[in-house]
Amino acid sequence: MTDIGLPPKRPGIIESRNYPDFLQLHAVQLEPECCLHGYSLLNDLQPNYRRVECVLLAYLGELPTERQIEIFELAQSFVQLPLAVTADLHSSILAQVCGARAASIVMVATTSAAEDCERRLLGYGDALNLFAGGQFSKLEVEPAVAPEELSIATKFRQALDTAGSFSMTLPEVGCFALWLRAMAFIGVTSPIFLCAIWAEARLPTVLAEAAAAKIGSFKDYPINQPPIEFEAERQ
Amino acid sequence: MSASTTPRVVRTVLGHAGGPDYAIRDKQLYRDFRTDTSFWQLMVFAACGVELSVTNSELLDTLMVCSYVPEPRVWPIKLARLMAAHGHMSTGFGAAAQVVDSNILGIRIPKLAASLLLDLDRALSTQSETPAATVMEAFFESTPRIPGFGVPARSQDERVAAYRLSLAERPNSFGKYLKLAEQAADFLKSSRGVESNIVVWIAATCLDIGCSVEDVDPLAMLLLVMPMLATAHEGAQQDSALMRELPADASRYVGRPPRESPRKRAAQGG
Repeated sequence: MTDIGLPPKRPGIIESRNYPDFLQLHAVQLEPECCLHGYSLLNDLQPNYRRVECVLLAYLGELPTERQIEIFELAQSFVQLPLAVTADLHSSILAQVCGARAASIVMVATTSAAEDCERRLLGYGDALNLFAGGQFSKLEVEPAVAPEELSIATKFRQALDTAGSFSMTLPEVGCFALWLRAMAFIGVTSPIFLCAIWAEARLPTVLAEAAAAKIGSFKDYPINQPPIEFEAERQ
Repeated sequence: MSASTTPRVVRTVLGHAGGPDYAIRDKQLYRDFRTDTSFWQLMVFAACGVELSVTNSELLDTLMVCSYVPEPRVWPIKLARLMAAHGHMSTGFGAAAQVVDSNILGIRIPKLAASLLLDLDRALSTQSETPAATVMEAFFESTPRIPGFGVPARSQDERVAAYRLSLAERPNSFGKYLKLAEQAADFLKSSRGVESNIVVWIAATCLDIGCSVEDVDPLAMLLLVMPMLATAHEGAQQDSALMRELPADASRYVGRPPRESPRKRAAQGG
């Protein structure tokens, strides 16, 4: 190999620029004591606040009101179960069958659930701001409620209406659309947080199924569901 | 699409376990590829359905070498190392592959650059009577963001310099779109002082070897993510506590100042 004539530790393009020596943290303070958005973990949050309140503090930057907590818990309770064998559920079971490590199965479940949320968010755009502003009418991008979720979506909508927090009756839309309105009402519109909250709602039930599957049970796994048929290309 | 209207069968052209051999598109894997097929010839055929010539396979070898970034501090590559720091290469490699699916760097941009080259080619073809520089001036003026151009943190993209040197040494590798990329790169450098980055050269190469714009994605993925394998591997082997946890003085809090909650104040009788 030709010697390119550079000493091995010659300063390069990274050394030629000024980069900070520290990582900036905006929510989590580590010293002199652990704090979240300014509130001490040991002397304030832990003794005085429930887990759900700390979760909403992380997302909102401020401690939530009772109404925000109520809507959040209500919305999460309605979306915690998949209404079909969705990809997050299926892929988590398959990862377990394949013998994946625990962290990998959780990563698969989390990523798939977050992908589901991100895909569903496509098309909403500025509508999240409308929801946050109290305008909850049905959007053109929103399909009619699927038959399989009609009963749960109806009860979800009624429960949100009964909670009395919304300024108008919610439209007849699907569970995700209702959940999104609830999150926007609370003040959560960041796609990162929405994906995280959606995944957090789904993870326990999805992972319950994954953990119940038998590692290496390839013969018991329905390899042809869904059917994937090969069609040779023609030249 | 509701569940009731969803097709009940998923179609694939990619493969079928037919017995002693696999069907792959319109061929048989071992029968047709076993003896003298390169890595790139198989990958491009599998992902894009394009049968690469030996010359084009060697061109992708060259592009792979020239677009390879071994420096583990470069942002997405560092992520591979961070995520492998708990001892698992697969986590580092997989996470890095996810992160380069980005609007500002990574695998989405070569596809945009390929579209740009097709549009530029169309503009030049339809205005063949007009000097090319005039057409390009108007074309780039009306293109707010030019994918594949601009080099952050350094004066030029060293990968481009290496690839152009390699191309100059094998001029028969220059297809229509590599020539167009060179033309655009020279124009933008001379007119605006903007250097090309490796992305537009990846895009041009993909188009020259016969890929469609949609097919640029998997090739860009291979070219940009494979370099992260080595750093994920080394990161996992090192199992570095320093990568898993930064020293205390390596972070600084810039958020809300300390405050007391209403409940704490109430508990204190305030």
